[in-house]
Amino acid sequence: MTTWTKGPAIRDPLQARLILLLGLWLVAIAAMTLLSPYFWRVSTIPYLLQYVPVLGLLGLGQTLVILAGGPGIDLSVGSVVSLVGVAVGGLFTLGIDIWVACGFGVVLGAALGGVNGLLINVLRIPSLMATLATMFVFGGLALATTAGRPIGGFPPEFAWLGQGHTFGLPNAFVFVLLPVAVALHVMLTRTTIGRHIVACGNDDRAAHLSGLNVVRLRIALYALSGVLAALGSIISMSWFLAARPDAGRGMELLAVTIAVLGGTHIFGGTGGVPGTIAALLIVTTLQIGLQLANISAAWQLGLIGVLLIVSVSRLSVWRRAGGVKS
Amino acid sequence: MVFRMSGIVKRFGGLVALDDVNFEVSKGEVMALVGDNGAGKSTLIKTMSGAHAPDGGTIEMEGRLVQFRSPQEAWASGIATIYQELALAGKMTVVDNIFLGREIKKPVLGIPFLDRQAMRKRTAELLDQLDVHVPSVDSWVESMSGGQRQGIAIARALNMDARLIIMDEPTAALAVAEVRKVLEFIKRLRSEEKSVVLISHNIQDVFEVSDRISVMRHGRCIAVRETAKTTPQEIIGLITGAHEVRAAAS
Amino acid sequence: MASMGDTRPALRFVSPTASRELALIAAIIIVSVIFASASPYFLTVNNLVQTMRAGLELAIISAGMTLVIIMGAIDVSVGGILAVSAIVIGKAYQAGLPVYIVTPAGLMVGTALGAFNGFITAKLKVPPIISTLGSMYIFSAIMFLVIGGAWISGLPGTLSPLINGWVGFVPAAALVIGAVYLLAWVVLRKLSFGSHIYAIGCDEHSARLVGINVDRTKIMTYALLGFLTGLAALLYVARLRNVEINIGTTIALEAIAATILGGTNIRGGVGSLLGTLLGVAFIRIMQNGLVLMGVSSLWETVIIGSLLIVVLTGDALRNRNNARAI
Repeated sequence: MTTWTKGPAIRDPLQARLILLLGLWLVAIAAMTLLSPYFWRVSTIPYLLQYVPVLGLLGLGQTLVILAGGPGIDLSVGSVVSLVGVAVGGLFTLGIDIWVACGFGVVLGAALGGVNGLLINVLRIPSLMATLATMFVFGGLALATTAGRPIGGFPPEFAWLGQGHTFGLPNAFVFVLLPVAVALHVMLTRTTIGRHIVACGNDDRAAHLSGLNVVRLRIALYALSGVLAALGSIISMSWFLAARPDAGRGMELLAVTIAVLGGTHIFGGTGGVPGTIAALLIVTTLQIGLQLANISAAWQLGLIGVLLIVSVSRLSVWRRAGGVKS
Repeated sequence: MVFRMSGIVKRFGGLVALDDVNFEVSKGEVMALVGDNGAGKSTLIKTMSGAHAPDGGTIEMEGRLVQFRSPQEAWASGIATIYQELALAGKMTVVDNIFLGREIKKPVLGIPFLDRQAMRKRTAELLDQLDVHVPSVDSWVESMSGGQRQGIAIARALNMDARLIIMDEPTAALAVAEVRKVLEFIKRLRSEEKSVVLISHNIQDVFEVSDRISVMRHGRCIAVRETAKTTPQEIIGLITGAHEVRAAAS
Repeated sequence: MASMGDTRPALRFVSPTASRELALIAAIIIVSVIFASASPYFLTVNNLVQTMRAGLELAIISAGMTLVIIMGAIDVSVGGILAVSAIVIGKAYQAGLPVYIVTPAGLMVGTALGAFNGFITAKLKVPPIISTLGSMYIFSAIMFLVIGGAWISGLPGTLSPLINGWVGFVPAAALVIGAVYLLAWVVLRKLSFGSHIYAIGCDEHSARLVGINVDRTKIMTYALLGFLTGLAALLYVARLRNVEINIGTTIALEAIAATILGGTNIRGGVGSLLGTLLGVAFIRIMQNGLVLMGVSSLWETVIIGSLLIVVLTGDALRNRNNARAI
């Protein structure tokens, strides 16, 4: 075990982690460039950023849920993406205007997230199990009601969100992910609610005794996670111009991965938007780079798995040695 | 000397919890360990019981130098610890708890099977010895009162056949009658030539059962007194450092 | 805390999970009646035995999962362990190795992967959900590494008598399941190892203080789950004669669902192997019955998820008086 010399050492482990992650991202870019000549050539940043929004939204939602402690986790986000997509697609085929249907989709996302929130915070069902069960239910509903078939026929102008570009950057990034990320970051770091969230994650007993309504806050965060998943679903549909009932499959695991890789401590209290975004960039870079280099998806996942484990084990060592909380 | 710690140092990051502590217990002696919160009492006994490894200093048990790398090694050397939080598994039975980590086994074809019958019998004996009454040795510990659980924790330590028994605030959460039982038990241990280290905030209890008192303050063992030759006032003065103030003032 | 705990001493004296086991038996009877009335084929010996054979892998894995969950941990990577083991077994058969070499090899692979999970969780102090998430990614990478491209088929069914055979009036598959659960039961209730598993699930900190070698117990329990998964892989290959496995979390989630349905507490410390077996039976009977009724099997996840929620809610409501006030 490392011994730390006296002195400032690590003032803010979250900041140190962010620097580490950005460094890692540069290493990833360098590695991918070496692996494939196409990597640099494909106007990379905009290309990269196209894949980023959906996972990014899910990851941000996950970050908040985990941050507020409990311990909190939301394994149902992938299924929410699928179910909202199916609902929106269904409404559209019934003749409702696509954007109105999307609005309804967002509300549905909030409701589904709210269900999670209630199960976990009012009924006190452990978050892992509760969201596992809702993952089954939501995902199953999406598949069962569509018999596994995607819903298509969306109007071409709907593709604007997922496929369009403004100032050379993808619309989904500019108009959805970026504002959401900025808003959440501001909320977490500069508003009272943000402080409350961190307090809940650190010690919910103390927070409760200080007058914070922990239950209401956590329910709201689960609902928010559902809303973000719904937004992700809409972007995904806009990209594919179809609502696939398994659109979100597997995304929950990646979302948790980037949240945890980004420095969010699994028991809450530590974490933030910048770290999650940095982790998001790393993961996406690796995925795209390896894909361009024709390396199978399995290797990407394997690498991500190693990163995940290493990042969490190092975090424990840091926490013990530094004894500092952000 | 049954047990001796010399020059023990323990640091946590930049904080020095134990600063060159010397501590010893004789055979068949009840040594009280007193001190204010943060003085280092809990850290010291955790080092004694193998939960912490000291950063410096030596530990001797019955004249031999020992090094505990885990609580299990301390148990093996004959040191039984009853923690303040009792360390009982709520959803397990009385029998299971008493034998946790030291289960009686009966080898069948080379596989060590649990000998539940022997354990239940021994449990009944132990509880009888301690005058602890439980509805059933097969009921879950979490449904029992504070006094019963303390009794079970003590029974577990007794079961270890230990030579040194450490008790961390055993009477803190107990009713008056239950406190009596614990104090009687400590006296009985002494009569059986076992050594006891007793941490307590309750000066009355300390003066009733202990032979000597070690006072800790700011991570140091600042004084050792024979109980018969000191007074509660002197001890409290040592704990709070009043004598330092008086010395400085004069 | 001087609470008197559960106020139904009589039933609790028998077993803390007895009520759940009875409820599951009732549930199985009820759905069986429904299915039998909807389809004459349901109650035939042929159908029931086939269903049991289809549930063989899930049953075996769930037994191991029960032990892991009682210990307070979880393992979502069993799908990966199953896949890697199966592929190694397939390759071994392909290379012409005889069954008495392939069998221990398969078991060893499973055990090793399980021990890997245990190591990361215990020694690197990574929370089980993260460690097994990461290891699942890693195992999927290993799977692609070993498989080298094409799925393997045409494998020998040397072990298939264990599945398809009969011993008198009893199907061999039933004996296999019985043997596995008996083994798990002996380990859990008759060995000190089992006592330690319960203790760690109850209160890991206290278990450590009492001198239990928590790390070693964790590694061994995960390794046992891996071993059982290896066994399941052997039987899988024998049954299907090929290795077309879709790696995924499905079997892990089904195993977890069966375990929780069966009365094991997700927080650990309490569990029931009989309950798990009943849970597996229930899940597979549901699957079978729905198919026979012509209901799309896609509804199965919805039903299982909903049941999980009902069960978890029931547990939560029952524990209300013991819960911390927040």
